[in-house]
Amino acid sequence: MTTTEKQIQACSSGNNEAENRARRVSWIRPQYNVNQDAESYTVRVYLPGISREQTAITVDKDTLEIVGRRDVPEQDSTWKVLHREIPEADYRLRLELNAPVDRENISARSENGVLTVTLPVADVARPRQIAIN
Amino acid sequence: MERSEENMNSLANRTGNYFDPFSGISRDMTQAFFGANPWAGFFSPAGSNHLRPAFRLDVYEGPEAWKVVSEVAGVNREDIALRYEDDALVIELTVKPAEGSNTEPRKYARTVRFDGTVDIDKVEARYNDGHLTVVLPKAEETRPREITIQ
Repeated sequence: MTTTEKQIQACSSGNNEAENRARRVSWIRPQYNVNQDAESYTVRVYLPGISREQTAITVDKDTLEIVGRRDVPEQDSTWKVLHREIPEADYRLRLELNAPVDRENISARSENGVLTVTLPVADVARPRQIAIN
Repeated sequence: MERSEENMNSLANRTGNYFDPFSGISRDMTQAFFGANPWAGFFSPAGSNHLRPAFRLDVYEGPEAWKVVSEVAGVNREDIALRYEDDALVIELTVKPAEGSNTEPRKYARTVRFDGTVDIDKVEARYNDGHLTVVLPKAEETRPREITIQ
């Protein structure tokens, strides 16, 4: 969801802005792991409860940023909390791209709350065979 | 010597609290590996390896049902088992290792008990984006009801 959409949604549902702002100050770093093979780097990020629409992936300069925003909790309080362990803050992961990556061809998919981002190794960095003349 | 043995027993009982059958084993192992160190059972993997960190969950109560939400990212739908036994909801996960790894699949389980009776036939569960939500309607006798004054 883009920021504007989020703002529109916040306005239409009449939420107070202060609460929304408070939600944005704190972030949790999600669990993640990175694998590498000859073709690409694969980043797996665990974002339970975050749908595709709530996930934003951006590459800016040398930083890969993954943000997962939670649903704004339901305002009607028919559900009383008996026990709470799941944190309310949104997820944010920033990774420095300290390896040559083909930025045009970064792809991502999401399954069962796990986001998999594939960053192809840039052509310049690939091992290549040199023919002997 | 006798005194440290006593410490060890109490520590082993503490770490083995959730899983009684193993408390005896872990006690024996800590003794075998760490001699009479009274803290051995507390820090060693031998004393704590059956207490894996489980997954997180929230429990909510409404007037007509309870709701349990748990975070189980990366687990396939068919690897989640839900049971209702001994008046409690049991959520059990089988976490498969990544492809190419030789480690055994690991099981995690959590039990949630409710203060009242659940209408077992009407329990519903859905799994979305790594969030498992189970709604357990209350049985008639547990729901709040108005009593007419005659």
